[in-house]
Amino acid sequence: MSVALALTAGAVGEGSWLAVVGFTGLGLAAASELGVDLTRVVLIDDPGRETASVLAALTGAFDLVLVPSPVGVGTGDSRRLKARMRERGTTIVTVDPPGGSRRAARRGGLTPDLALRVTDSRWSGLGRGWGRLDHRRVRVERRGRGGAARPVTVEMWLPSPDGRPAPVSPASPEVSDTPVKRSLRPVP
Amino acid sequence: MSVRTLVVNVPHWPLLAAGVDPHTPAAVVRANRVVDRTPAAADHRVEVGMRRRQAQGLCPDLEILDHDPDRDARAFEEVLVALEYFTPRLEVLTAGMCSFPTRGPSRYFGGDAALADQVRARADTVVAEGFDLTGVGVADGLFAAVIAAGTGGGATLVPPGESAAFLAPLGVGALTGDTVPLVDSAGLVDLLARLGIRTLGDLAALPGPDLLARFGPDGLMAHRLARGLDDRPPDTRPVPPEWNVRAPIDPPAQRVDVVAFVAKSLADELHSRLRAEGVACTRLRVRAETEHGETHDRTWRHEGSLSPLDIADRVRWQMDGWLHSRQAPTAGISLLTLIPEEVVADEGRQLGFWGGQTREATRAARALARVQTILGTGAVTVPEIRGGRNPAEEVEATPLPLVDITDPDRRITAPGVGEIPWPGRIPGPSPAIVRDPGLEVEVLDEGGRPVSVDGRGVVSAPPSVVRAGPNPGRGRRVVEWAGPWPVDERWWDPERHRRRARFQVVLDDGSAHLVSVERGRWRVEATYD
Repeated sequence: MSVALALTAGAVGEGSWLAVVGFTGLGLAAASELGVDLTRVVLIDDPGRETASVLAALTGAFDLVLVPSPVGVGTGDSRRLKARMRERGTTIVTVDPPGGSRRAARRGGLTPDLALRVTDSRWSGLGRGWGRLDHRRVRVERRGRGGAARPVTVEMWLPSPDGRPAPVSPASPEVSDTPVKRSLRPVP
Repeated sequence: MSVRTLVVNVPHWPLLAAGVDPHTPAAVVRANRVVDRTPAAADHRVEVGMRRRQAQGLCPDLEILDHDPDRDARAFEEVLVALEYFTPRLEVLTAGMCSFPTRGPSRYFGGDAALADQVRARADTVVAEGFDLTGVGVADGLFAAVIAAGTGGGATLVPPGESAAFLAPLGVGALTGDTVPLVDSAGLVDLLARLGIRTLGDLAALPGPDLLARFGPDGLMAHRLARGLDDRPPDTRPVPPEWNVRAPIDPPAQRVDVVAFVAKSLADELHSRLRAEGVACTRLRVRAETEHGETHDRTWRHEGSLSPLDIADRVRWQMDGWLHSRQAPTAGISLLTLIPEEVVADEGRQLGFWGGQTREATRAARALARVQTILGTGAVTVPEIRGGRNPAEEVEATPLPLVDITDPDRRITAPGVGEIPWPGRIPGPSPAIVRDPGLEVEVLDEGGRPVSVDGRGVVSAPPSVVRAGPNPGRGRRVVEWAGPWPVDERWWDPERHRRRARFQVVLDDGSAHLVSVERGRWRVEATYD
């Protein structure tokens, strides 16, 4: 979840609008701390069975749409949706439930072009009976199709001790020239 | 020369439309501000423009009604049907206010005074007892007539040719109103007052060209209004009938939403046609016909120019009113026609350079309007930062209809939040997943006994296992933990009083959670995902 929020933060900061569809318990305070400007965030808590038409309506008007996977969209609908997204420049970010496998995402009709997965996550700041959660080091693995087929792993602070996402080491060059749409690049 | 006009103003229309008893304190609230209140609420000194919380503070049992333009417009149809007795040329200004030119009806009903009295008597039949009675104003020019009607509780007649004299003693503040066609009336009024131009008479006495030079089109418009003229010189050029747009509906529509959907595309078509001609529509007639040949006409006037969405809204209101009125049509609606009755040269609108109404926001608002037609108006919300002790309370969702997301100056942070720390707030970073009301779990110590926290905030034993669900075999070991952080909230309110202790835990799978215990029951409140 944090990865998805951090991913959208950059684009929202540049003036894009973000629609969050179907998350009832999104921590908006966390989104704000990760750098998402909440003035350009709109929430649609429960699209019910109308997910496909809601996504279609948002495509084109919103640059970013965040939905939980599996997305309740049929194969035919998702193909049309993808064509429309490509044409209008909308990016849909699907989020797997915590601990869920990537197979869950496949079951929905909407398969991602690029998948980011947290393979390791370690919190610091807490002890046995003392301290507080402060910062976390995560290892994020990127897999995808086409030019992005080779998995790439990057370690980052999410959040770092100062509250913002930050790379553990200076970003490796293979990460920065990701051949995908602008808003899908891993956070620098 | 301006058109002699009669304006009917039903005061407190939003309250009447909501069917509120005037003797109970109630207020209509839009975007957190009171827009109207009952006389009973006024007795508690609840005023228009107050913040909702302030109004509730003055009058704790105040009934809060949401502002609903659809409901207002729909209910107003009843008044319009009653007034159609006088003339078919009714123009709706806003819900609660309509106008018609008096030439014709006035002579037929025996003069302006007789006409005004009859109109008032008819309109008063729909006003609930206890509310102010309908105001009727007759004057040269729409602006003067609206002011005359605004005094309420009777008929005000301004003799022909004396609109300017009638307006002269009024303050320039009269220029701020829903029906005044100024782009930035508040700013202009403020500036005029500071320049020492306090009454409309002062304004009218100034030379028009100078006002145009100093204040732009708004200044000239204000000058015209102050002199009792119509906002624009009457346009003698009729609107060519080929600008009308029509759409057959097949199969005939029985439901409002179907008509509204057609109306939207029809409005787009009209808009692009008018734009190609370089004009904008300020008065529009909407006509619907049924299979049985019944027709329903209504003229809508708009202070600015009607956008496609405005048009679609008005069609929906009109159809809603018609389909649910006593004279409801006997068949489905088969033809919808939009007739622009008055057009003006479209001067365009300059988008703000710094911020301003951005295209993205407008586009987003449009898409959300579409989503709302799919899911209902309450389905879309925007976050508002309120502050609080728990992750679930810190950011609250405000329904979209209550805010204007295209407003570049929109504040999403409640006043005062962030300036001083919340005592008892969980220190950051905040959890990315918030569960409200929490997922029930069991938290056990090393010996398998439930962990408890006593009244003094002492933990019985270090938590060792967190177990969820009915299957007792599954559970995760607690690797690291901190707490308890007790919080005792709203101890003054027996119903909402909550007393609990919170912990942060990191489990053996690396996940971090915020768990709390309240009356011996443990819940996962949030997950640091």
